[in-house]
Formats: sequence, C-alpha cells, structure tokens
Amino acid sequence: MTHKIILIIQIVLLIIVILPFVTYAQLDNCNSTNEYIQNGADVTIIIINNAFYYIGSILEPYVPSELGTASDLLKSCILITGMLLTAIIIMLISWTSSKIVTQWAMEQ
Amino acid sequence: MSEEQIKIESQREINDSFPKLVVYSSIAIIIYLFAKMVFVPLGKNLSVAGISTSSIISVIAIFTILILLWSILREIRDICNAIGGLLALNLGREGADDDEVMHYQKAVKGFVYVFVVVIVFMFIGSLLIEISQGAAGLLLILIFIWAVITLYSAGMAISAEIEATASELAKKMEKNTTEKVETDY
Repeated sequence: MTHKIILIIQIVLLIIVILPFVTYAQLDNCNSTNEYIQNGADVTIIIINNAFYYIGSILEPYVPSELGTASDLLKSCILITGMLLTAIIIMLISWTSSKIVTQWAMEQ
Repeated sequence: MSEEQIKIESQREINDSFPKLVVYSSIAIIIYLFAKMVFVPLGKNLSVAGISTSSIISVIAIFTILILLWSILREIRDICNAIGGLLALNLGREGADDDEVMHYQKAVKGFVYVFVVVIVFMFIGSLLIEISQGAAGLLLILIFIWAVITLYSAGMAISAEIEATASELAKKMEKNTTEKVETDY
C-alpha cells in the first residue's frame, strides 16, 4: 500500500473517531431559532444521557465508590479514550505525511 | 565547504524541511483545536477518582503537542541552518568560512527558536491553565529566562560577525589609502 492511501485511511479514521464527539458537543450547545430543530437536539441529548445512566446503573455494583458514579466514569473513560485515539491517529498522520514529503523532496 | 556546496545543501534542506514544518504545525494546531473546543468542554463537569477529566485530556493534548514541537524544532533547526548558510554567502565576508556560517546559523536559530517557543506557549499555556495556573506561570518565567539567554547568545554571534566584517573593511580601506599615498609620491 502506498503512503498516500495509508494517509487517506488515517484521515478517514480520524474523522470517524472525532465525529461523534463533535456532534455531541454541538448538540449540547445547540441554540436554534427553529423549534423543531431545538426539540430534536434536546431529545437526542436526553436519549444519549439516558443511555449513559442506564449503562451506569448496570455497572454501578462493580465500580468502587471512590472512583465516582458509574455513569460519570463511563463518560470520562469514553472521552479519555477518544482523546487518546485522536492523539495516536494524529501522530500516525504526521509520520505518514513526513514520509510522503521526504519522498517528494527526493524526487525534486 | 565550498560556496556551491553550501548553496545546494541549503536549497535541499529548505525543500525537504519546509513542507514537513507546515504539516507538523498544522497537525499541532488541529490537536489543540480538538482538545480545546471538543474534549475539554465535554469533560468539564466530570471526574475520575477526584481528578478532573478535562485535566487528564489537557495532559494528553499537551504531551502530543510537545512531541510535535520536538519534530517542529528539528525541522526549524534544518531550515535555520540553510538560511544561515545562504545569509553567510550573500551578506557575509568574501569566501564564507565555517565559523562565519556557524555564527549566522546560531543567530538565525536563536531568533526563530524564541519566536516559535513563544507561539507554542500560547497553545500549551491555555491548556496548562486547565491543570494548574501556577505551573503555567512558572513555565512562562522559565521560557522568559531561556529567551533572554538565547537572544543574548544570538546577538553575540551577530556582533562577532559585524566586528569581523568591520575589521575587514577597515583593512581594505587602510590598504587602499596606503596604495593611494604610494602612487601620489
């Protein structure tokens, strides 16, 4: 596989990783003048939060109390994993790009 | 190193390093924006074992930016060496020797490093404030002391070159005057 294809795959991966977080953050701050859009955003946020609380209530007995509530811990873990994945993919992108640039400079 | 060699080496270094520098800088800005605008606000009210999630996210972002900064400084060093070589060829004395090239490279590196580190501090500082304001202040003081030392040594390198150029000019003028006096007599 050439470096260019690897780079495209990495960029697509980065978009896949980052998109849910960007969507959630935007929905959380949504202040639309359109009533239907605002209601849709509110309902989506409530559904996502309910899902977290539901999974948190299942995990609650297994989580030590000193770590905090299970739903908060779940959210934190997802956020930290997202940030770590973003950082790793971005480092891979920079590594592949530098290889492409070196190849281009050699050709020049 | 001959003038032709310095010119070719400098051109090659600029061709190789400048695009890499642009890529690394853009990637550092992207990671900063993702951390600052997406992950840190989402982790604001959350905590793991008493540690704020936004602090953990900031640490990850700072660490990534520092790794990228290392690559950025490496590329900047190559570009500054190339620019220093070209400056020594175009502005310096006749027949650029290794000392002269080194002085110009040191001066360019000093000024550019300070400029880059100050810009990077603006990014890292705003993430570091999420963790500890004291640490951000301490880092600022350390960067200031380092910048003063670096700028002083860069200025010294430039002043050594100016001194050498001035003494060469003085010698030339002295020689011209002696020749003129001899021809007059």
